[in-house]
Amino acid sequence: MTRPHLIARLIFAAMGVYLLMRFLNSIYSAVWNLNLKCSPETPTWGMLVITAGLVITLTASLILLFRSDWLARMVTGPDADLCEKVDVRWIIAGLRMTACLCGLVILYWPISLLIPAIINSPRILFDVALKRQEFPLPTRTIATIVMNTIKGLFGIYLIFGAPYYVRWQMRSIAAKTRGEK
Amino acid sequence: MSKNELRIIARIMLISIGLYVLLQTFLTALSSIATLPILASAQIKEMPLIITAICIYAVLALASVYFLIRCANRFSTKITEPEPVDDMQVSWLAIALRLICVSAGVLFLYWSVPNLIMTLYTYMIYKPYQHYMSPKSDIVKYVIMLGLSIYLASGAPRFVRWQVRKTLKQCSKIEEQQPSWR
Repeated sequence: MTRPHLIARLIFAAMGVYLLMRFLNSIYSAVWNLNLKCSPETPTWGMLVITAGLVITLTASLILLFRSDWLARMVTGPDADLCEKVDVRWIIAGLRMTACLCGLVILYWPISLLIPAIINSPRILFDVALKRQEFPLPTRTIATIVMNTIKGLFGIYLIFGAPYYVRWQMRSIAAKTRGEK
Repeated sequence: MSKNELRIIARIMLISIGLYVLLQTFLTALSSIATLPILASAQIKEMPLIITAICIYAVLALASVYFLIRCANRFSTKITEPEPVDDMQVSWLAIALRLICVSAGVLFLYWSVPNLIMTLYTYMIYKPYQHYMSPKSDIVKYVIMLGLSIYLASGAPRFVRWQVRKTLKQCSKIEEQQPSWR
């Protein structure tokens, strides 16, 4: 892999993470806004459009994350093949650094939402025990907590350098290199 | 990649963040100014306080942008100071990770400081009604985020060292599995 290819792949990976986050946010808002429970009032075309949007976003993010090789080759052009090949350590370091950057940016929002939830949880439990608070908690509260926990865990995995993803990428690059030889 | 190139990249990143903050401040100030006549017509008691808060926010943001752009050269030199290791590649990796941490830290500062000021301000204004609100948890949240931001903006030395160690470990593991890559 040459340096332009690597840069393109790293940018595509970051875009893939961004799209995955958009996908998670869209699921959350789609479930909430369409209020799936009262389906007779929900316009079918609206559901279709939102589902199509979700599928396209997820597919695009998966392509950018796992199958961006052809895209990188297309963007960089044939001249990029003539550049010097990069050391395997640069590929690993680049992928890990991109993961780390994305993880840091992603983690800010779930942390800032989960800290008040953790701080307020004793008060909420107390209110539930005294029957001042309905139980189970409102769907929106539960959905927010679940969504932010997922995002938080994803952010932590990325900050750790996404080791499994990097290993998978390296395996696929190795297989491709062997195929080219 | 030479040290000079790294310093230029650091400068570009810092100035880009500064420009992002400037743009966001401009847009926030614009929307605040747009709502001022509505608030004035509603004859809100805290009008002078609201104007003061907007002014403080604008001044703080502009001062930090000025500081970021003016001192970009000094900051970038500090970020790209070489690590005490012999291997140039390891040093480069540490510098790049430090740059990522500093950029994330500056962004976190920009996201948390105005919110912390706003929460403290709301806490002061609505003190009689605090039974119905819970600004305390918000204050704790922003103080934690502020601590995290300062740690990241200072280059997160322990995290960078840990990340470099892990990266090198993974590199050697993969090189063992694929000896042809060496």
